[in-house]
Amino acid sequence: MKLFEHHQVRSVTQAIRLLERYGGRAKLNAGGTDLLGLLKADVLPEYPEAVIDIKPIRNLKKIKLEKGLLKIGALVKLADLAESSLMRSQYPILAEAALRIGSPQLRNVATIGGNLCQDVRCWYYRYPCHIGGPILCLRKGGNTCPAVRGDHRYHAIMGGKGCMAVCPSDLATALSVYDAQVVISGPDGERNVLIMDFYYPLGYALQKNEMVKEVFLPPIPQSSKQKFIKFTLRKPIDFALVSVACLLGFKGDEVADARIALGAISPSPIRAYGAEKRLIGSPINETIVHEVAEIALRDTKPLSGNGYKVNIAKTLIKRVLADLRFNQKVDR
Amino acid sequence: MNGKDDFKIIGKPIPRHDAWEKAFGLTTYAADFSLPDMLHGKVLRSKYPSAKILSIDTTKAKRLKGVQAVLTAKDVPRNESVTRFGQTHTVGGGFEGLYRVLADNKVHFLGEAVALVAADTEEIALKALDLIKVEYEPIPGVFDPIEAMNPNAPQVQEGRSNIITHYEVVRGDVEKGFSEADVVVENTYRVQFVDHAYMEPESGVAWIDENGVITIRVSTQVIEHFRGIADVLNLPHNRVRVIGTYVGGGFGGKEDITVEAFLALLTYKTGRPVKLTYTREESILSHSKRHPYVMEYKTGAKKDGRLIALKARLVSDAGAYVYLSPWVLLYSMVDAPGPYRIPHVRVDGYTVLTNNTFTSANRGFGAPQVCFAYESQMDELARRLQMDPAEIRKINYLEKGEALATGQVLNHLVALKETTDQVLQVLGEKPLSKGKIRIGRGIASGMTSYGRMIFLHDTSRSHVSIEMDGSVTIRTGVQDIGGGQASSLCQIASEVLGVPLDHIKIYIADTALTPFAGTTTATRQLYMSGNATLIAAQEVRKTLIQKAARMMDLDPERLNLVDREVVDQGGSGKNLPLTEVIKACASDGLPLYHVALFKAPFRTLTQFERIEGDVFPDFTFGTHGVVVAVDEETGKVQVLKIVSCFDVGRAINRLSVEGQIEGGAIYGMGYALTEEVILKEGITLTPSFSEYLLPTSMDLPELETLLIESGDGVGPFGSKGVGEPSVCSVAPAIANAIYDAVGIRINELPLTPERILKALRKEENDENPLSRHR
Ligand SMILES: Cc1cc2nc3c(=O)[nH]c(=O)nc-3n(C[C@H](O)[C@H](O)[C@H](O)COP(=O)(O)OP(=O)(O)OC[C@H]3O[C@@H](n4cnc5c(N)ncnc54)[C@H](O)[C@@H]3O)c2cc1C
Ligand code: SF4
Repeated sequence: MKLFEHHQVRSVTQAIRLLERYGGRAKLNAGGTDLLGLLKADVLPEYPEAVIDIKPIRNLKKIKLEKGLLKIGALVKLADLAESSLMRSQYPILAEAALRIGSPQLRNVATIGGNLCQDVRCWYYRYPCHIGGPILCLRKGGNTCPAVRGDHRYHAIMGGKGCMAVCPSDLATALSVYDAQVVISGPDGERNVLIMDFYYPLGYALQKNEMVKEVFLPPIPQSSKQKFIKFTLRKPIDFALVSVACLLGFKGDEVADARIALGAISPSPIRAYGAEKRLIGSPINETIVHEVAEIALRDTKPLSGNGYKVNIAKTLIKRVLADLRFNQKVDR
Repeated sequence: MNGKDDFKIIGKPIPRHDAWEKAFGLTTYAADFSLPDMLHGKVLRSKYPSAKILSIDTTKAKRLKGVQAVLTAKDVPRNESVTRFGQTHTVGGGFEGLYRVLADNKVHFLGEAVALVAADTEEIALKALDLIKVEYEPIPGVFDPIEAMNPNAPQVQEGRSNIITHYEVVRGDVEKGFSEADVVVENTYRVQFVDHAYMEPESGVAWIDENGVITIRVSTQVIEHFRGIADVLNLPHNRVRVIGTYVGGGFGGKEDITVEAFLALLTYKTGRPVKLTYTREESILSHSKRHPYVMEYKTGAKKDGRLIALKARLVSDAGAYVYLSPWVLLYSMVDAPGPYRIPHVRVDGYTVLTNNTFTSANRGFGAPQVCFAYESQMDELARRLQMDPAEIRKINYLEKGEALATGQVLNHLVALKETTDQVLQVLGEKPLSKGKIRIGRGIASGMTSYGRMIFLHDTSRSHVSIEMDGSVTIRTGVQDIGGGQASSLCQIASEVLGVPLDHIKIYIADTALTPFAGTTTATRQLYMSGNATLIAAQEVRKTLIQKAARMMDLDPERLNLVDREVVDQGGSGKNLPLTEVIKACASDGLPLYHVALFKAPFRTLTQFERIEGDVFPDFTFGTHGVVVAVDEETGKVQVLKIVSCFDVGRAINRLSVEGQIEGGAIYGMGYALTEEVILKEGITLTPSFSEYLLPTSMDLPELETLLIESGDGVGPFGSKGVGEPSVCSVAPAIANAIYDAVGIRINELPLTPERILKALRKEENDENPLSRHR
């Protein structure tokens, strides 16, 4: 690791002030689980001059219900999300997504804010700088994306605009289903961004002097069924190759509310609105399930070497729907 | 001391003497050791996989405060030498590879060492690396071994063909063989680069001792690289001392020189102690890998399942430096037909330079690669002949007294029928498939040599002495890499001398103080140093027994050493405390020690292309059986169970043997399913454990380990080696189980969801409905 200045802040205002002072040459440190790796391998296009430790900010560590809105502070740990009984009963997708991330050690320090703002896992981007120097790419000041012609087995199958790295955050996928909003604080106050709009082709909807303060989730429909499936190569520790989050509300046998989000297939989490529409008003049967999976993946444009992700995504959608239907029957 | 039941210590599941120490974190591994005034070393590595070095400017780096040395090739007294990998005998014939310490006018792979820095702190050393200016001129490279064989391909190492070696094994007349075959199966198999992925990366500390000797305390499988390191410095061999630490995993990756020469140079130039530990990324990017192979196999059999002909062509990717590639290929050549009786054989093998990371030893050393091919072929033949996979193997397994295709006669038991039967029995009935999750079972057998190739003229020495109080000291240059190497030697001495284990102390791995025991590689240490220790202990025993016989006035034949006493087994009821006998020996000036030299069989090689006759001292045979669950819709494979059965000759320490075999099963499972060092145009895309996917503890299947103890090995007490053999046939067993589950055969490792899905889709589109689900 190289030398940097280190600051500790106790409030969002202090953090913003410092961010302004360094004009983009400072990095926030929440749990550090992503940041430290990036600094050690010297991955960032520019090595930060300063690291701002935001851990001491007290009021970002709570999960609370306010006027029907669930507010999750940016410093809430993944372990807390996974274990909170409120989460597990009302927002089981978010709890399950948190539980499937990394290992217990990571979940005990990693925060939701850091999870949403973590850097992409693209192996060209993450190439350790000390050995041969960085691999230049669009995200690192280069002109092309080497992944497109290189090995992109884990890269995006849709939505790539130049950079084909997928959104690595499982929490973003989970939050998409809940139509969550990210509350961003900056020098001029706060603004909200829908989670699906939080990811830009080469970064986030954050200015250099802004940070994520919290995330809020609107109330979920009564008695909905929810499920999150994450496909990985190994049992623990891996990032998603594809993930699916699904929330269904039923009226009798018929689907009254449907939300399907797909993760790790695009630079941002994807809501399969077309597929959701198709589901509403019908019972779940094999034909529908098949059709919905096709619709959800209709707009994919896989690269030469990652078409298999389309098949896996379709399978996950079918399974998540079959599973929710089954559970619905059992429940009644 | 002959019947198995007579053993007191041998064969018992005894926790190793170093186990608690390691469990409590007390073992001082290489990187745990520091000295006052110590500097920190770092290596500048090449930016390109293939480039000319136009200039290197170190002025700025040297001027940085806290930097004590910046070295490039011109600072190395002897930058190029021939490495013998710890052997003292020169084989010739291109068998020894070039060792270049630092790149001089060209870089040949990405990550090649270009310059060295020693500085007061690691941070300063890193900063200094940034300040070294290297001007490169990238030149075309070649990254595929098949392309590299083309005479017009870019030349990787100046002045030499990319084809390092061509070997052939010929028996009978293959064309005639195929003309007599009723069925012929032809496939091309590919296996990938893999990393050793030891927990402990390459590391060491060097200093100059009070006598001016360059001393290097290092994590290595081969302390005898001290000669090569002395050559690099142009110093007499006895001016360099290597002390081997307990090693946090070797798997062949610490068989070549790692940090030693860099450390020696930095210490020599600065006069101060230096520590150098590779980062994980550095270890994966710039140190050796397992050889990828392309293997074309054509196998012919008669209707009744008898094999009749095999034609194979092997091409291995040596990466940018020769290192152990010819040796590894030679192993593959001998093992290529598998443990089968095939009258007509022709195998051609090539190992080829490319601008990829260099490849060298990795647990199994060329055996697992070909096993994947020959065992997949066996299942394909079984399918074509509608035979049971176990049945066709049993018809063809070699037996004691028969010869390999090279002509080497197997003088010891081949227990493959037994290992296969036992595996099948324990595998039991196949569980039922559920929906899209299909269950499959597969087996595969393998052969792997233990002990080095006999034309290396391998030797080992061990010094055993008994102290006045009856405690025993062993001194031997064995490197303990976590396989229980040191512990097993203690058990041998304990058994022979009738002294309890806690009265035995072993000193290992010090070129200045312990007799040379050779490398901890090639599954040779128990065989070689076990035998040396056995002989040494037996000589000490002889002295003691003879003296005791005179003291007791009894026939020496009647006496035994049991629990620190000389016991008359003839029924007189007389015994004598061992210390009495020792005292008497000492008074008489009798030697209470012995240094034994154990020699493997020797042979001198005169013909380097056609591999004929004896190559190895002996082989270990075994079978793996696995149960897998394949998700037909995602292509994901989960291994549910691995049953391993090996004829281990004799288990010296049952716990260690089972540990080796279980570890081997998982090592093989990672090779089969998830592990791959992905290189694209010479760039490693998997430089850390977030991309390089090792099986985790949660991915472990149910493991069953069965031992056959034939007593027919060439190691001490009839033991055989298991360290490497335990990996050999796991991958093909998994591939065969996948076939059993979903009716597709993948000829390329690793067996990823991507490949399986692709093959399943191809099958779906296939018109032949019979081709799926037998
Ligand atoms: C082995 C391993 C496996 C993993 N597997 C998964 C996985 O499967 N799924 C998954 O989703 N994640 C996975 N992760 C990523 C992990 O979830 C993130 O590292 C973690 O959530 C980041 O949280 P943190 O608090 O440690 O962030 P930090 O490392 O502190 O920060 C990460 C980044 O976000 C920025 N940042 C932090 N907080 C804020 C804020 N409030 N506002 C603006 N910017 C901020 C930081 O400046 C930094 O750039 C894995 C990580 C590891 C190491
Ligand atoms: S996918 Fe994005 S991060 Fe990866 S190489 Fe391409 S541009 Fe860079």
